[in-house]
Amino acid sequence: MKQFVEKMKGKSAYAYLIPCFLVFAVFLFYPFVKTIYLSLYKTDKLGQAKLFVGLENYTDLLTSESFYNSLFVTLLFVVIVVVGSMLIGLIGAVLCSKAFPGIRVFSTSYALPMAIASSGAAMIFKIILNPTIGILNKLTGLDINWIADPKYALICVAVLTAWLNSGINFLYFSAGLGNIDESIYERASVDGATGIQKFFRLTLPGLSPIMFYTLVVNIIQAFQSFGQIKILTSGGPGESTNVIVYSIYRDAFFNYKFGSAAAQSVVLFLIIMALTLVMFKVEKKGVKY
Amino acid sequence: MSELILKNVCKMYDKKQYAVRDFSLKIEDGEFVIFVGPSGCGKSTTLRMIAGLEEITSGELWIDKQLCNYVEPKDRDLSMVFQNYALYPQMTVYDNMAFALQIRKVPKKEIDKKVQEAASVLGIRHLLKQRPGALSGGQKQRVAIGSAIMREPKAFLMDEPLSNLDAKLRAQMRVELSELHKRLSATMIYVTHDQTEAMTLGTKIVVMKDGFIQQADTPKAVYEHPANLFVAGFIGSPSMNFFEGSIRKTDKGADFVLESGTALEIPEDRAFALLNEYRNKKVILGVRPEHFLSEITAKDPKADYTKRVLNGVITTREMLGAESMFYLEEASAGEFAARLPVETKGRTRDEMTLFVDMDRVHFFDAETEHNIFYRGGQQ
Ligand SMILES: Nc1ncnc2c1ncn2[C@@H]1O[C@H](COP(=O)(O)OP(=O)(O)OP(=O)(O)O)[C@@H](O)[C@H]1O
Ligand SMILES: [Mg+2]
Repeated sequence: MKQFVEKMKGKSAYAYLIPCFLVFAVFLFYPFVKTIYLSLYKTDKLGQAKLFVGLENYTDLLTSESFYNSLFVTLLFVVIVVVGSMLIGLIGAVLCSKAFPGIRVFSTSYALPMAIASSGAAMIFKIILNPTIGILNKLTGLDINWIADPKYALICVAVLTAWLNSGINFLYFSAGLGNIDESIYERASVDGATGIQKFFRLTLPGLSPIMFYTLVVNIIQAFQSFGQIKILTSGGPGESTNVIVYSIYRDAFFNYKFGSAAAQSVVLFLIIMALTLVMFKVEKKGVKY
Repeated sequence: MSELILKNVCKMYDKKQYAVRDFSLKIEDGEFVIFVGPSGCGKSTTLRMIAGLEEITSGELWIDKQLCNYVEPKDRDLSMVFQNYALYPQMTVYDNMAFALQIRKVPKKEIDKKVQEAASVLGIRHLLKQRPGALSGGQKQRVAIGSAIMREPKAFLMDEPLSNLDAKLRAQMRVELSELHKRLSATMIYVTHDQTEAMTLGTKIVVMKDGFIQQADTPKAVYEHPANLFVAGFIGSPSMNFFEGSIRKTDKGADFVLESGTALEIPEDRAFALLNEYRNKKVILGVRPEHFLSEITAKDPKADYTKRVLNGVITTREMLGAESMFYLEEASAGEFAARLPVETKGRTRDEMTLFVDMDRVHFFDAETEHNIFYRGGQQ
């Protein structure tokens, strides 16, 4: 008996994990396993697995031009979004790191995108980008049908997404800048460093830990953008903004090819996981704490 | 190397109180100026104004005949050791030291030579690859010194650069800094709380209190002719003993009389001046611990040595090595300290009679606290 109690003492730690584990199981593990399961089947219109096809859904994907297009579009989209949102966030944070009159107004407006629903922002952008009544064409004097032109559509949604994601980046970077000791800037200026030298030699390295974290979060977030694409372009024109997430949605809920959609989900998962692992490897070398 | 002039420099933080007030000082080329004063008297603030990190509220700062109030810190060509080190946390010790040269695009080889040289002088060669986070306070401080002495700026500003080192290392660094000063004939401004550093390194000591300069003079002059009660008590360790009393006329000249009635004969040369202005008035007598003697060595034929003694009961006795500190209790004057040869006899609670070297004592006006015999000083 005594032995049993002793044994249970060590194991009791696991008991505390049960609530969390249950939530994870219901909302993450079950859907995840189910997705893998579905990706091996052909389904009926209700999404029930009907016919086991093995890896056929995957081989179909790998031979489909549309899928490669999706991959390429996604990649381009992610790059523009991540670079854009991090730049906007960083520049905003650096500009707002010094106290000046009206700083509150500026910080609030830089952080604001965080509070805007992506679909709401998409609606506003739709009006801004409207070729006849939109303010963008009015101001620039251009005559471009932004959303309907395959050349510009992807850039438009990407820029919108970058701006939407920049709010949280602004917060992260502001916090990161607040952590950098003010006196090292003083020493640098006595040492004779210019503003640009200070930025590249002190600010950027000082931000590197938070920068890495923001990068990972941003990449994952960018891969999963959906609302604004759905409202602004619905994957079009043609397939020019058909990113993987949108393609999954379309295959599942319009074409009722749940099997193919599940297979794409798995591929997306693999890509994100691989990227995250690579980044953590790189982090060990590049990030200085 | 160069000359710095501060004219009536004031600093006010937040429109409330002056941190530094009417600070006027001329620092010649190659001078080693020491700022001393109690904590919070404005030493760091003055240094930071010279470096350009703090705006000068009013007054003028001239570096090499150029008005520098509004010159950017990076264009002043100074180098500074900060009180809190201010090392770059993301860089190695090597890069920390090399930073000022790197941004000036000095060739790598030259940088390497200088860094290695300074690192071995400071005894931190084995730390070059570390980051500041992994260093002890004293090591960080040496890195900060190393970073500051990479260049040959117009002036070195050092804010308590040795405060965190152990006694041996401190003595060693003191010698190094003194050599650096001689070798580069550099202008240096140096803040310290350490009496030895102040007395040995400086060519000029600036004593500050509450943002005001109390006295600015050579270490010897500040020690031998303190301008007022504060400077007298602040410079010298252990500090000067003060006795309240009054001046009384005698047949031969004048006596200083303690409340207990004990009279001390004042030497002739000062007796008349004191009688003129301070007859029967309150004055404060200042005697350094080393100016008590257990026996008379020099004989002044005119002096009445029986009237130059102070009695007291020993309360504590401390061994300092070659000398002993005696703390004595006098009836009215309270406790005072005397530094005597180590072989001096006397145990706790013994009565002791000490001669006062009356030629080297100081008299202070009890109201203004000025040294009565202080005649200005060089500025
Ligand atoms: N940034 C600031 N804002 C407001 N007051 C300040 C600021 N910096 C210093 N002070 C005040 O100015 C006065 C002088 O400070 P300073 O740092 O120059 O003292 P210090 O002589 O260097 O003291 P220590 O020997 O402790 O370093 C202090 O009373 C301090 O409270
Ligand atoms: Mg200070």
